[in-house]
Amino acid sequence: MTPRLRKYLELERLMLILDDEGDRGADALRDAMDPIWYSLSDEERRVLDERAVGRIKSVEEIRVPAGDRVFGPVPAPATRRALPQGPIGDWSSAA
Amino acid sequence: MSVVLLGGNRFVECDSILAYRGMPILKVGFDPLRLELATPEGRPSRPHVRVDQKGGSPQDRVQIVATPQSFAVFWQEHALAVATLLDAGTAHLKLDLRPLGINIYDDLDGLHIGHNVFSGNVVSHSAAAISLGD
Repeated sequence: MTPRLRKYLELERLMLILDDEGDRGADALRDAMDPIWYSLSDEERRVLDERAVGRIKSVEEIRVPAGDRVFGPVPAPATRRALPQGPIGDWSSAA
Repeated sequence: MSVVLLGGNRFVECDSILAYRGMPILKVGFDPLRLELATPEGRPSRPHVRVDQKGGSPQDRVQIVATPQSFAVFWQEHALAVATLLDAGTAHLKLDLRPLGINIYDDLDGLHIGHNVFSGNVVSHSAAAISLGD
C-alpha cells in the first residue's frame, strides 16, 4: 500500500463516519478528496474500485462482509523435497 | 484500561476483537494475559479450533505457550496468535489464521480480512471490535 493510498483511505474512513452521523461535513470532505482521487495511479484506483468495502458504521465497530474471501479452504502443506545428493548442474543463473 | 494493538489498529476496552455472526472468535484477556480463540464451526474440511481457560483443542494440534508477558497459540508448527504484554494494560497481537483456512492476518500494511485491509482505526468500548457477517 502506497502512502498516498493510505492517506486516501484514512480520509475516506472519516468521511464515512461523518456520513453515517448525518454530518454535512461529509460532503465537504468528499469534495476535498477529489484532487487526491485524481492524483492516484490507475493501479491504485483499480484497487479501490475492486474493494469489497466493509462499511464502517461508527468508530465503535468495524463491520466486514464474510464469505469465500474470508473463509476458504485450508492451504495444502508445502511439498518437501530432499536435498540433492550430488553436485547441482545446469544452472541458468546464479547470484 | 485494556488496549490491544493489532495491525496498526488500536482496540480499547473491547470485549472481543473478532466476532462472526455475533459469536466471539478472538478475545484478549489481561491479568493474566491470555487469548481465547473459537473458530467458526462449518465445513468439515476446516478445523474447529478452540482455546479457552481450560486449554486448547484439538489437543493433538493446538499448543499453547504462556508466560507472564506473552501468550501464544500454535497450530502444529504455525503461530496463529501471539500476544505480548507491552505494559500492564497494553498488549500487542500478531495474528495469522490462514493455516486454518481463514483469511485473516496482519502485516505492515494492516489487518487483512479477506480482501480488505484495516489500519489506523481506533475502536473503543465495543462488544465486538470487528464483526464479520454475511
